[in-house]
Amino acid sequence: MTEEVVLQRRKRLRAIKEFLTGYLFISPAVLVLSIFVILPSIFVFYISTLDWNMIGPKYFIGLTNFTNLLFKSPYASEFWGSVFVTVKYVALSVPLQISVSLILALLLMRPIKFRSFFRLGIFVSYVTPLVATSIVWMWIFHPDYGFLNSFLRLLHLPTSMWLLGSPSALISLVIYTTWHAIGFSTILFMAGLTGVPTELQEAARIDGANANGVFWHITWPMLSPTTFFILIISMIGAFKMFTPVFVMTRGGPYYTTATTGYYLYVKAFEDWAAGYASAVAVMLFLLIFILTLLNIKFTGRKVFYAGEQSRGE
Amino acid sequence: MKRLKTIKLSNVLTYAALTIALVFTIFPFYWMVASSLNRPETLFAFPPKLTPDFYFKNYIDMWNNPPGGVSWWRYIGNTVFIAGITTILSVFNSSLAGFAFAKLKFPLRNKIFILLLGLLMIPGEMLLIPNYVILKNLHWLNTYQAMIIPWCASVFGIFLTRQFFKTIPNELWEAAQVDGCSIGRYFFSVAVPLAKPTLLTLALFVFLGSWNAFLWPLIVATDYAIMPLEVALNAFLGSEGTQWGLLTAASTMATVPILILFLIFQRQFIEGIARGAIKG
Repeated sequence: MTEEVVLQRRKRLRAIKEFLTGYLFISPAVLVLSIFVILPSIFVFYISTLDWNMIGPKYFIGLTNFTNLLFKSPYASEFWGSVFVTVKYVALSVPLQISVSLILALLLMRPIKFRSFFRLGIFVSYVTPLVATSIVWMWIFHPDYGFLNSFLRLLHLPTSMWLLGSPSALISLVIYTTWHAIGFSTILFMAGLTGVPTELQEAARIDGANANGVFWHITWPMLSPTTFFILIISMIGAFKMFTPVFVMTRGGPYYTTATTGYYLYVKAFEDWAAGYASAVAVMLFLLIFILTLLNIKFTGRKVFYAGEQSRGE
Repeated sequence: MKRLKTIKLSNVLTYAALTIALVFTIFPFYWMVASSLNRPETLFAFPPKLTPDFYFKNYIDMWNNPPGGVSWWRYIGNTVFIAGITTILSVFNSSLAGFAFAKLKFPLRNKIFILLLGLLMIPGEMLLIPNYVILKNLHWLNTYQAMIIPWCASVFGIFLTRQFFKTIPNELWEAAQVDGCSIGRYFFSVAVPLAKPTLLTLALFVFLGSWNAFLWPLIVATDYAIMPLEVALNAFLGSEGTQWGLLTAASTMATVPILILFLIFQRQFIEGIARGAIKG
């Protein structure tokens, strides 16, 4: 009788200890995420209703920042201009990146020699720092002495102003970011391809389908969640893009490379328009939120940036 | 016979395409190193000279002209310190939380976890301004903790470690309890050693993210004494805008450590990317 009571008490004690330990274990992470993610993501909505330069007094102006950026020039033309630049960038870079990385992944899945060597070489640029490699590409893109124009000149092909011209500056950014990210999407496609059952492809081949038919009727549809995932994270990445623009073009020439992420930075930390920039940030959030929901709806995936400091790149 | 030939042709095309892709990804690194070892006049030569002069003076000049008058040692040290501490704290905090969410029973456990997962939808850009204000009020601008503390826990890390800890059979924990083992001791002496490969992958990604971080340190570290290498490199571009030999030398200095780290741990990096994306 008493023994049972003791046993039960011990059990309850253990359960209490377990839940206290549970809270103790999650508390450092929850604390950090509360202060630096949850709190600021609420705070930003408040700041977006202010006219504030981060030092002086705060003036509450309701939704004026939003009506300004949506409808009232020069704000509206700047904001929508940045969205337009980003959309143009997406239209140029995403199809290029998806098609090239898919082709590379398909080639790398073939029974070839030196596969891991090729994979390594194609992936390596993804891990390298953006400022350092942007500087290298600025040198490659140099209109007078850069390798790219020298190479084109040797082949008697027309040269370009690259980062200094329009629309070539945006194209240069596309080339750079494709170079930086191509390995990432190739790895994702390779992972997606391992999920396509080979029996299905074999069966189709036995039924007389050629390689083209197998690809378009089996591999491509079965790969669509991966493709969609890459499409969405590339679009989100485009709206967040900052570092290459900041280092290589500063949004120029004539704002033709001022993406929304860069515009946000300029408004916040060069013009110190905290309220207005927060409104831009909220718009950016809504846009990315919609893209993320689409992604979850169609592929059931949460968007990860694989441990990158995505809070602020 | 004919079939054999077509296979060979398609193989040749495969290798040719992959080689072109490889040249595209690798050549900029070669050109970075080659340019950093070229004399100024060689840099402007046409046609471009593909083999370097092995002119090391660029490195000496670069080293003797650090931006902001603080030494390069300082910038390298800052980056190593910030990335190192961030990695240790982030892996520790994330794995503690990941373990709790995987193995311990406590009220609201799943609700809190789902809330944390929801945070993944918040883009970092949205947090820049409010976090800057928060740090300003904490008087943390131009401090190391500004570049460390906000990053010392990650939802991705919690998610990744939780996935792993869930695979440890419960019998192990029950057996340990019979032996009178506390939860803390079980975590440190049983769970963590088992999770080593996962923790290593996480550590690599946190380290890489911290080493390559730019926008956040650009905003909070305006003081040269605590600037990390990437931000200093941007300042160097401002001060030595046309000295391409010096600029590529500095870029080489910032890139080579990461390249070495990547070559050592390439398997973990590549698997980490594939896994992070699939399991989500």
